[in-house]
This record gives sequence, C-alpha cells and structure tokens, in this order.
Amino acid sequence: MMPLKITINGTGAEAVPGSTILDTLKALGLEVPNLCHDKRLEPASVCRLCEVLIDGVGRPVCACSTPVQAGMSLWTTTPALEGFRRTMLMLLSGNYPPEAVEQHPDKPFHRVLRAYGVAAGSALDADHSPTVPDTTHPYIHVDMSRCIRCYRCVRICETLQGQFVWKIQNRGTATVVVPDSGSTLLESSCVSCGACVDTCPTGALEDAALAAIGKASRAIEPDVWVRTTCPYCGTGCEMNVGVRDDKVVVSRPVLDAPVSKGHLCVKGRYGTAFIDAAERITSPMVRRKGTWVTVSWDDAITAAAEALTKAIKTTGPDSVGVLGSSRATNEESYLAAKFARVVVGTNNVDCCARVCHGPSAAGLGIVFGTGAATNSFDDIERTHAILLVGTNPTENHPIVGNRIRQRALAGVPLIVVDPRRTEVARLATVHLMLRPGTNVPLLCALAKSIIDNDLVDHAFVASRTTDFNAYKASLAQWTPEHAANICGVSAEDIRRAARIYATARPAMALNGLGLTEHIQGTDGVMALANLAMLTGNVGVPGGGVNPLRGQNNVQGTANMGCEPARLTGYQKINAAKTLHEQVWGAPVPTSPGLTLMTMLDAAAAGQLKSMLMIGYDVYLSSPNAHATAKALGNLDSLVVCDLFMTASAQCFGTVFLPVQSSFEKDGTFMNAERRIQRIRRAVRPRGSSKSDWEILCLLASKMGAGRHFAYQDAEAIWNEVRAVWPVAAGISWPRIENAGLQWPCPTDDHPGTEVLHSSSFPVGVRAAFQRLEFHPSGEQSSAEFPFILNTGRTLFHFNAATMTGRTRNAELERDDLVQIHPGDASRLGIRDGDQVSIESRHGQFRGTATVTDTVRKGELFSVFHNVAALVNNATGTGRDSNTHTPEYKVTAVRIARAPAQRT
Amino acid sequence: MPFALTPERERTFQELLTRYPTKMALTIPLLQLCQEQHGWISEEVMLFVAERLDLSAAHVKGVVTFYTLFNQHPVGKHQVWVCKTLPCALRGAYDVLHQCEKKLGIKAGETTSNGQITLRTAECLASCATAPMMQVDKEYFEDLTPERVDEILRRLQES
Ligand code: SF4
Ligand code: SF4
Ligand code: FES
Ligand code: FES
Repeated sequence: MMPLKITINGTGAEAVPGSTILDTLKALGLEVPNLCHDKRLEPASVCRLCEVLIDGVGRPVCACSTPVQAGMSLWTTTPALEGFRRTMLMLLSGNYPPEAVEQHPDKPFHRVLRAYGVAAGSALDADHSPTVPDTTHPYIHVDMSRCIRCYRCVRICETLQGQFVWKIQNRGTATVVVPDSGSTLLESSCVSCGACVDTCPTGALEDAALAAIGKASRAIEPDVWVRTTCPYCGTGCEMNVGVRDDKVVVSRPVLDAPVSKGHLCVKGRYGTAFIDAAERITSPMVRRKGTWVTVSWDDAITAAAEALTKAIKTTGPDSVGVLGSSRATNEESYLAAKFARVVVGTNNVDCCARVCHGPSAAGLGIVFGTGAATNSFDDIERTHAILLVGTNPTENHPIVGNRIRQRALAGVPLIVVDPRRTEVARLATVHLMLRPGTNVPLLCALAKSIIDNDLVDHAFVASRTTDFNAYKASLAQWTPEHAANICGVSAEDIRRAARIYATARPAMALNGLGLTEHIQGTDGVMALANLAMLTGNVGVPGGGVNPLRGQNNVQGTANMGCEPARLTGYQKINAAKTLHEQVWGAPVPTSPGLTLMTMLDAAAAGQLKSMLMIGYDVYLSSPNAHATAKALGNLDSLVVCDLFMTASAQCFGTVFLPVQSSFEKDGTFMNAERRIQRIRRAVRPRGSSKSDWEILCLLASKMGAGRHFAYQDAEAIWNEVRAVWPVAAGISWPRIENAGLQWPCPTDDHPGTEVLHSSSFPVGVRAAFQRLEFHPSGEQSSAEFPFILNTGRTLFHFNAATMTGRTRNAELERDDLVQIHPGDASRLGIRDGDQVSIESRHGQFRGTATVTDTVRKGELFSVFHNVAALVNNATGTGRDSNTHTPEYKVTAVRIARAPAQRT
Repeated sequence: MPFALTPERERTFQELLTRYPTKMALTIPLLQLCQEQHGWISEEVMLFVAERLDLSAAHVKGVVTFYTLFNQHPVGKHQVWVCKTLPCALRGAYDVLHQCEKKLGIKAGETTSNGQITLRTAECLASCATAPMMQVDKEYFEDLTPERVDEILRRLQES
C-alpha cells in the first residue's frame, strides 16, 4: 500500500494507511504521552494525554483513536497541549503515593510524570492513611491507591482473556476498579493469566514476585530479558523471561509472538518456580543396594552404558526400549530416536504421544498422509464456524481457548462435542453432551445428516476424494435417532450441529484427547476427517482438522522419530531408510519396534530388560498402574533422565541423570500448528545438570558410537534434522530467530505453510473416505460400578505436575479434584470438599469431591495431577486398536465418601 | 430472600425482552422495573437481574453504582431533589437546601425517621430559567421561595 503524506510539526512525513496517529508517531519516534493505550486493545481514549492538534480541526483529538489521513497537518507539542498534559497529570497524580514513583521508576506513568516535572501526591493530606494492598493472590499484588483509572486491566481481561474479572464501580472521583463485585482477587473469578498486570501502567497491579524485589532494592527491572517458548502446552506461546542474579524472576508475554500475540496463561506467566525448586536433582545418581548414591557424571554414564550394553549383548537390541520426551527439544528427541536406531539397534522407541494424540497423528496420516494439524491457529479468526470435539481449550490450551471464546462471544457459531459442560460448552450454539466413548456414532450421524440433507460439497468430493459411495452406504445405520440413542443426546441437536458445520464455509474442527483416548481413538479422528472432506473443509483457510497437542513438544517428539514405525519427519521407515543411512552412516534396523504400551507388556513378560526413560513419568501417567508397576519392576535396569525424582525413578530407577530445564538450554519446540520455534538459555544450568542431548552424546560415545554423535551444539543437530527431513530443510535457526516457521518449508526462501493439502495430499490428489465400524468400550457401567470415570487436566496444573507441582499454583486450585453431579452427590451423601474414594475393577484412588453440574449424572471427572492420589490405579486396560493409546476417558467405577485422612 | 417480580411486571419484562437486541441491553429497563417495585436495588435485586439477563452480578453492580437514579439503600416514600448547579446556586439553591434540612431534621442524602421523605441534591435538572428549583418525585417545583418550600414540605409530610 502507498504510504500517506502528512505533516508533523511542520515537517513532511509518511504514514501507513489505516494506522492511527499514535501508531504513526510511535513509528517515527515522535511518541506523545499515552497511558490508556495498549496495542492489544481497542482504543478507549480515557487518559486524554495523547491529544494532538490537527490544522482545520477545532479541538484537540486523541492520537490513539484517530486514524491518519492523507494531507493531515499535526501538531504534537504546542505550549497549549503541553500545559493541558501537565494539568491532566496533576489531576491524575494528586492523590498518588509519591514513594511508588521512586520505587518503580520505569512504570510508564512514572516516566511521564518525570518528563513533565509533576510531583505525585500534591493533594494528599500529610496524615493520609495508605490503602491496604490486596495481597491474597500468590502471583498478583493489588494496590489500588496507584490506580489512575485507565481501564486497561478491565479491557484486557475482557478482550484478551475473556474472563471479565475487573469491574468499574461508582462514578466521577469515587470510581474504583474492583475484582468481581468487590471481593479479594484470590476469591474472584480471576484465572491468573496476568494480562492485567502486564498492561497496568502504574504498578497498581504488579507481579507479586517483583513487588517483593522492588521493596527490598528500590529497583524492580530484571537485568536481562530472554525471549523463549513456553515449556507447558502445545500452543507454543512465546515469553520474555526476566532474569535477575541468574534467577528467572518474571515471565511476560511477547507482544509480537505469532501464536500468543501478547498473552500468556497462568502456567507460562507464573509457572517457572520449578526451575529452582528444592527437590530439583542436579547431580547424577546410581542406585546401589536399593538406595540412591550421588556419583560423578563419568560413573553415572558408565553405569547407564553398561546396563544398556548388557541387555543388548545378552538378550539383543530389541530387549531395550527408549522413550523420548515431549518436554525435550526437537534436537534432543531426534537424538533419542537416532540413539535407539544407531546405538542400540532397535526400533523400540516411542514417546508420550502414544498415550495422547497418537490416534490424531495416525488417523490424519491414514486419511491425508500427514499426521499433523491441517491448519493454523490464525484460522480461528478466519473461520465461520468452530467444531470442538473432546477438547477443553480454555483450560488446557488457554491461549487458543481464549481466541475461540472471543469468536464465540462475537457470534461465530460454536459446536461442542463433550460429555462435560466445560467453559466453551457453556458458550456453545449446540452442545452435544454425549456419553463418554460414543464419538464415532455421533460423528457418523453428523455425516449422515449432512448427506441426507444434501449439504455435501459435491465439487470437493468429486475432485479431491474417493470411495464416497461406499462411505455413504456404510453410514446407513447412523440416523440421528439411532446415534442419539447411543450417545444420549437429542437427534434434533445432531441435525442442528450438522447444518451449522456444513453450511458455514469454511468451518474449522479442533480436537483434543476426548476424541483420541478411547479404544476407537483413531476411528474417531478419521470420522472427523471424513466430515471435513464431506464439506470441503480441507485445504482451505479457516477449515481443517486440528488436533490441539497436549505438551509443548509432543508434536515434535513423535515427528523427530520417537515412534517405532517412523523416522524423522514422521516418514515411514522403508520410505526414509536410505536417506537416513546416508546421513547417519549407519544402518537403520528393520525389525518392527514396540510401542510404549507393548514395551510395558514385553517388560512384564520378561522380554524387555532395560529402558532409557527421558523426561517422562511412565508409572504415574500410564493407565492401570498395577500393571505398569509389574512391568517396570521386572526390568533389569531403568535409566531415567529428568529434573525431579519422578515416581517411576523413585520406585524402579537404577540410574538417574539430572537434566536441564528448557530455560537452561538452546533448541527448538514444535507447536500444534507445525510451527518450529526457538527456546533459549536464560539462566545457567543448575548444579551439574546436562541437557538431554549432551547426555545422549556421552552415552553414545561410551557405547562406542561417538562418531555418530559428535555435535558442536544444538543447532548442529538441527541442521542434521534438515538433511534427513527434506520437508523442513528450509527451516534454519537464523530464519526462526524472530518468529517460528511452519513446515512444510523445503527451501531457504519458502515462507512456510499455514494450510496443508490445498491442492493435493501426500497420498495423492485424492484422499479416501474411511468406512468405520463402531465397537463400544468394554467399560460399561453396572450395578457394581455404576459410574463412568473420565480423566483430564485443569488450568492450573500440568500433567504429572512435575513442574506445576513445584509452583504456587497449588494455592489456586487443588490437584486431586473429582467432579460429581449434585444429584449423585446428595444421593450418596457427598459434599463439596469431601474426601472420596473411587474404585474400579482395576484399582482404587482417593480425591477431593467437587459437586458441580459440569458433569452429567452417572459420570465422574477426575484430574490426574496428584502423585499420591494416583488416579491411574483405577484406569483400565482398553487400548485404541490402531495405536495402542489407552482408554483413559472411560472406566466403570463406584464412588463413596472416604473417612478424612492425610491432607 | 430472593427477589421476584410481580406477575404484572414479569409480563412487562417478557414484553421488553422481545424489543431489545440483546439481553444485556435490558439491564437498565429491568433495574428500573425492580426499583419501581422494591424502592431500591438490594444485593438480591442485583442477583435477580444478573440471573435473568445472563450477566455477572459484578456487571450489574457496575451499572447500579454508576447511575445516581438507582438507589443503593432503602429510601423514603417521597424523593426530594434540590438542584444545586450554578444557575440554581446563584439564585439561592443552598438556602433552599438548608431550609429543607432544617425543616425535615435530616442532612442531604438521608431519610426521615418515619421513612416518609428522602432529601438529595441533584446536578442541573434543566430548568435553569426558573431557578431555584427542586424535583419532588416526578414533579418540578420552580421559582422557589421560602414560603413555597415550607408549603411543599408540609403537604408532603401530611400525605
Ligand atoms: S489498575 Fe492499573 S490498569 Fe487497571 S485501571 Fe488502574 S491503573 Fe489502569
Ligand atoms: S490475571 Fe487475567 S483473568 Fe485475572 S484479572 Fe487479570 S486479566 Fe483477568
Ligand atoms: S492514550 Fe489516547 S487517550 Fe489515553
Ligand atoms: S442549574 Fe438547576 S436546573 Fe439547571
């Protein structure tokens, strides 16, 4: 677009069409004071400091809300304007505590006061009593004596987070900003995302950690800021961590991050304390006669190498299993996969994608040829309807969830398929509150309804698909009425949902573990892919099928080859074997490898003897914990690489190798939309901990394969990845210095790919519709076990809580909650907060009851974060027929009040 | 005790619902209906409005505390508003106010102990040409003199 010509203070200048006067002034380095402006928000123009004069316009106008126009002649600092600004600042600062200005000199308000020579507190009585700050919240310090009523917190909580916590009460000089109806922040509906703190220009809202430092040292800013990627979920938000004295003291959102766009959730924003948790293990250990003994790195590596070598020598390479970590970097996962193949000589390598989105990768791989999200998060803003299947995004992928919520609030139709009334379900146009384990009938009925009402995209079906007629015939039994019966929803709602999804083109589908962690997991994903093809929602912006991946790098770890049947880039072994052998200079084994689940089976049967377990607590997170214990207990050796003594290591480990957190090393993560982003070292490695890749190189060299594992740094490893994975060959570290790239990106000048399959599929121009059969779960409620238990996560905790469990998040929400419907609760005499015991035919665990209509009668939902509770004592043996992904979402159980015991 | 509208007002509310584009847009009309019935906006009323309009109670409280015409405390049977903006002030509004305070034995913002009259001040009521003036319930009294004020208050006290 042609720049506009304007005049500023008598001098010619250029402006970008469509920008505001303030944007233009900022770009030119001529910024005028502005306190209520934040580029993440719509302008509100309440502080009036940014007023400028325009020739021919009678009154001053606000630069923050006025668009530039060609030929405008602006005046930004006339004596009248400066006088006006000084008066406004005096009004704002008359009752403002002067000590705050001194203590936190860098706050925007304080800088403006200094620049205009205005002293704060001029209207305060000498004996004024200071307001009492609200210090109830573990992360957010609230001191409203510093509030200048810019309403940035109110607006950001509404439009970025969608939480509506901060409220304005009263008017005029009596105006106050309060959480909810005036509670403390801790008691309020705040979800601790910290957006309000990030935007507040005064320090009225401040990170508690910084408020504390500020008091002690009178200076608040960290020494350095390091840009990196969040270590928690698969959204891939970017954060700037502030480091002071080699400690991460604060984490703030990166404003121009392509995914998170200046926002974070409680985990990325405040969940960094685990780095320096007291229980962090920073020296290697070996178990001798049952107890852990601290040893040198050399001894530890020798012990680990000997254990692995012994198994390889005596029972063969296939008696060893390697588990890569979804918390580790792509570079490290790539090395784990290479280690298994080259050093051990086995395809027994897997990662936790097995227990979560394995079916998404497999299902999309079968149908389209690429086991990853077809579209991007930016498509959320482009789509005309959103279909969420088995995902609770506002808690589990909060930044994506917020973007979905904003769209729903703006009136975009939202269909939610979920047995629970989650936050998004409460906003849904249609909520299909189905029985757990009935996704396949529901999705088939949606397809049938689309076909029967002739809402099919015939052009797409004709040009891009095959097997339509056979598919159509296979749906014959799935009338909405029949499915409604099985799923426990109304046939009318199925029809409504089908019509919305099929007529609002484009429509975007996103799925979570509620679709995959079933015995029909892969079928469910394929059923969803069928729907997208039926309606022409593949290969188009705003459409697609998009798994919301659970962990920061779970997409990357499987993609890097931590998958028994796949090499780097999720390439099938026989397709990519030659290229890998060329680059590796070593043979790739061809005997079929074991998955995590079959490794456990093999261990239990005495066939698997040794395991290398990187950053993954298998015992805590696998279903049917008794069986897991039996398997792990049967191993001759278990080498664990982790930050903490996990339950697996504690009970079954033989060698413990302490690793670095993502804040202590360099590398890349791959998010759920195939975007590869940098992580960077912000603090020195703790103790003698090493990165996973260094450990793998040491082990390899001890086992005689050092020449295949000689790397200068993580970047060198990445460059080798590019050599074996042509699809990502164009993604170099220098190119992703400022913003990540999405594969496919085969060449150095390729811009990356937002939308897959626009003109063809890796499987060809056409993809085939999949015919599916429905086999119900073996876990059905009975007189003995009358409830169906579903398991999952909450906003404040993450998976096995290895990290969040070492932060103050525990003060925000318990990690052992079990949701039960009020009707069931009162029948069983269970009250909110009671200790309950849950028992299945596989085992038993305890939790704390939450009585809520989020769950249906006859169903329970338990979070699985608590180590002591060990929810997986109760989960069963069901596995997806295709990928062996466990059926965490359906277990028949009974529940009863338990006598109170341990806290 | 939870608040509820009388059947007749409930009908009015249902009819209003059809006239507004969103439920949120009914916040003020519904609050007015409630105040007409209850005399003031209690916590219970706010909860009722929030629930009926799918809003948070906090949002309703923000609206109630912004508009001075919503009573946040119980008020008397009659409302006396004395205008005190500049034109009225120049023409003796404060004398009128003090006369009222003396005669009723209360300060501005208070209610007589028999619950009969609440006295308040108001910003310009747009009747400056006939200043000083005051509003009693829905009626304007203009060009006030001490005698007229006495007379008005006497009649109110007797009513
Ligand atoms: S608390 Fe901060 S952000 Fe919120 S209105 Fe006050 S000064 Fe503005
Ligand atoms: S932390 Fe987030 S949710 Fe909580 S009040 Fe601030 S903006 Fe709202
Ligand atoms: S920044 Fe423009 S009015 Fe506050
Ligand atoms: S000043 Fe009293 S009516 Fe205008």
